[in-house]
Amino acid sequence: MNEDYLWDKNGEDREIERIESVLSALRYQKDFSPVLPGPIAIVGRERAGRWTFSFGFAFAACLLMVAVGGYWFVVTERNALPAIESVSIKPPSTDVEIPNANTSISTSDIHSQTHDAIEITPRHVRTIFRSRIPRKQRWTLSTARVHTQNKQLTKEEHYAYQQLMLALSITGSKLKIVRDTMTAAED
Amino acid sequence: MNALNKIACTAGIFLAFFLAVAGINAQEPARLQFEKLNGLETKARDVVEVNVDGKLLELAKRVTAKVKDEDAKKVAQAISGLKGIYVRVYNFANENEYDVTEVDEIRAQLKTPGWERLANVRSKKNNQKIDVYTMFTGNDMSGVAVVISEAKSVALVNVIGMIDIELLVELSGKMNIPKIDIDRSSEPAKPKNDKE
Repeated sequence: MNEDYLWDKNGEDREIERIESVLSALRYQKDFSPVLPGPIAIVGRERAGRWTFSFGFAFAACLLMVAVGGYWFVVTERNALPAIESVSIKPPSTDVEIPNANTSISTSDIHSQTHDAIEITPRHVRTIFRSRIPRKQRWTLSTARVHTQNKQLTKEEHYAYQQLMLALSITGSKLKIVRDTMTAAED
Repeated sequence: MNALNKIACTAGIFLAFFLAVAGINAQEPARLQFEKLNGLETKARDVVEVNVDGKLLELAKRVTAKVKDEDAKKVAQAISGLKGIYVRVYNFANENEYDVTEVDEIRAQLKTPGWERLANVRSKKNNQKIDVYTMFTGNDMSGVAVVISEAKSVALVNVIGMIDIELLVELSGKMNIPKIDIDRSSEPAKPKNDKE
């Protein structure tokens, strides 16, 4: 080995020259700034992954929405109560008795009697978005009727209506007595 | 000066109050004074007292108009001119338990000018007395009064404003106007009476 060649490249040393030529590819170069290709490749892969995931999620969400909407449509249509367009009233089957003791007729008494007398004439209209009555109450028509009636009227309105109807009923019955008595007297 | 102002203000307030009260009374000449029936109330076994007027009546009218039914429409039509309705029913446990003069006081109110007697029945059976009076303002009916007294019951009805009586009788038992058979114990008809 020629040591002069190692220190200042004087003379010849074939073995060292061979090693130099092999490692020349890794020699330091002044104008070359190294760039690592790794991160670029990773970023590209991540973006592609996100696109795929979002699209899949949106598709799944759409499917879920369609499924839920379809189920709701079918169920609601099957169970929906018709819109209440008219209310017909039946006469009660029994007479109303005045409660004992020195008390006025309470509104709750009349309330219960009135509910027995109200009957809804249903109209077959598809009402999907209007029906908010729980299914339990749909089974018995009378319960649903009362519910709807209460929904429409406020407490004050209901009270006023009951009071008026009570007054009219008593007036009507008294006038009827007068008329019957007069008719009988004429006969 | 201040004292004079105060006196003037007080007098003004009293005058306004007096005019308001007088105005209210003048507006409802067909209104009967049921306040004198306290004696009946204390002795009665059952008492029914219904007062529907003012805002309560307006509210009830609105509700009646809401109900979509033929009978409801008829009721709404029958009470369109109604201004107030006052009902008192007293049922007694025993015969002749109440003081007749108290009912006669109400009948006396119906002898004031304006009231016209429509029907009058006196029956010895069950001690039945029926009076029906109407009041007219011009051609329009402004009030109806029904007084029915029997041995064990007294019923008073005072209607202010216009009301279709025939329609009301026809609708009795329909709508949710229940047939309140308050006088079941008494047997109507067949009075052997002097009808005036």
